[in-house]
Amino acid sequence: MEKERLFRLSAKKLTELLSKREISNLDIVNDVVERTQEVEPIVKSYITTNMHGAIASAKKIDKLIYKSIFKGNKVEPLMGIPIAIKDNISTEGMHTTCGSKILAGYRPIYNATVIKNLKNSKIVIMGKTNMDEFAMGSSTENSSFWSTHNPWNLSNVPGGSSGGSAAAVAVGEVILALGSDTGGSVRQPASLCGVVGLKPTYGLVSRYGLIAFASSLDQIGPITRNVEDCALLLNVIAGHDPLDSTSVLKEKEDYTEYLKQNINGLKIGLIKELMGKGISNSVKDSVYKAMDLFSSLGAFCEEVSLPSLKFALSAYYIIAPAEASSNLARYDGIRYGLRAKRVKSFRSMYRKTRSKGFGDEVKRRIMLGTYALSRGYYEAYYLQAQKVRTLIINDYKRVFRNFDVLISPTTPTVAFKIGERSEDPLTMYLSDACTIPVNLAGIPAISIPCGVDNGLPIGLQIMTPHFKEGLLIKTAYNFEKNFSFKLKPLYKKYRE
Amino acid sequence: MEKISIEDVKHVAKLAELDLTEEEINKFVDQLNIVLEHAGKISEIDTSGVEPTSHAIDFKNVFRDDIVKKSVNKEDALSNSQKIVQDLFELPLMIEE
Repeated sequence: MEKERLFRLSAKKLTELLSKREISNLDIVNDVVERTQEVEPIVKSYITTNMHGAIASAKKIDKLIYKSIFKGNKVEPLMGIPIAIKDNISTEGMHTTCGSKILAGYRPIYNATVIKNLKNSKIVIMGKTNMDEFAMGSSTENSSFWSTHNPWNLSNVPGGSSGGSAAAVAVGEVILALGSDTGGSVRQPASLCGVVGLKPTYGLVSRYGLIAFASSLDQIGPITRNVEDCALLLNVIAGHDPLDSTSVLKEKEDYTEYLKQNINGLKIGLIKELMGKGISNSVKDSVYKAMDLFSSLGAFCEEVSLPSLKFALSAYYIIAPAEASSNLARYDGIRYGLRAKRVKSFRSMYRKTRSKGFGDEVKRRIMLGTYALSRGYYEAYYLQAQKVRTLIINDYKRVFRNFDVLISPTTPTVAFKIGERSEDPLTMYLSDACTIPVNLAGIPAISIPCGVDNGLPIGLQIMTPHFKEGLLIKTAYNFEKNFSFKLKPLYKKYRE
Repeated sequence: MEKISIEDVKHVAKLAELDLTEEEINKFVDQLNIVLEHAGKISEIDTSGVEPTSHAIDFKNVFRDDIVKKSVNKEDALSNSQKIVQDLFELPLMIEE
């Protein structure tokens, strides 16, 4: 009989086994390490791995678990569970590149608040995952290191920008992951890799130590293989942080409480504007079927219109680059990262460092943002985009008066081929058409698997009003429990 | 909206402190025009009387007491720089000749 592979199990199940002392934490970490050695050469999820560090942590945690059980206490949720971290989240002493050459060799001198939270919960960090440079992209092809491959079909992209995190979770290189989401960068790769990805309400999770892209839109979020693990991880990372002045002072919630509730009588709106042109038929079909499933569970479903969403993508591609052009001014070659050599003056060092260190997409967005903020264009582009943002927020507020929850596809299509869109920025940007409005409005959203097309997963996006993550998790969990995701055993595919 | 020209791209690159190659400039003129044409659609909406939003969550000013706390030590602060002299960052000339 072949040995049972632990990497396949959920965090919840692993905690049960740890509590019963059927396995040790070292068993879990060793199996995840073995899995990574098997598949990493073909999937390429990680930029940096922390295998030795993880094994050392597991040994220490095993002692804590032993003591805890000896005293009659239970094993804390997620204690000892392996996690992968997107490479734009600062980890003290651990290489952090943001997928960029400009930060090659950079070792942060402090931990992001989310990392402190993970460490306090004794969650084991397995490494830093690949991403589009500075989180700008939808395919992880903009990484200045290499492309990550979609575990379901290796010639396809895993999505992005948190593509490494989503691929690692999907293929079993790790149990949990963190990503960041500015225009869909957690939900879109989760959708394309057939896993669960949640973008919290803006301000729920501290951004301290998250390397900034567009500060009014960025949020860190969990990527997991099921909704329950997602709720457990959100419990760990959510909460007020005095080090992030945009983090919201709010009482902590236990999101797993919502897993017990049903959705009878829930009012669900399907967003009409996100089911039109550009959405593939297979995606539409799956979303309509999801609506039927919700109805069968006692929810009341109806189409709803948010006319301003038609302009969300346009507004986003002004606002996000504008904020990025300002945030990325800090890469001057002085205090950290790359520094251009053989330069006569400070000015030429600054320019040469940036020109050498930034890749194509980052330069393109800095140019776009600088243009939108420049004299003569500020009002027509930036200010107008901010006004459109108000209209989008108002549209959501209006429909949330009549609906508890909104749904849409997460992405217009399933995962596309590597190279297919990389020379065409606008087509690439359209991959985020369904996820972007959520960031502009600051509301939370989750992507869960809802179908399969040609061996590739389809994702359903669920949205709720600000700080209603509990409702989001409840809705997603009820769907997941009653839906059989046909792609489930992908693991055998990569056995040697 | 009007089209962006090669001169515009060169001007913006200067503002953004980027040295672009001729090849990059030509590529960006085309690509930025395509993106801006799409982004320009926002001008079609009537936004008269609409307030701009800079943050989706309504924040008031966030204040804290001005208390001196321990912060980063010098060694750590300098640890990621390519060039330091004693305990200072070393830079090329600030003023160009």
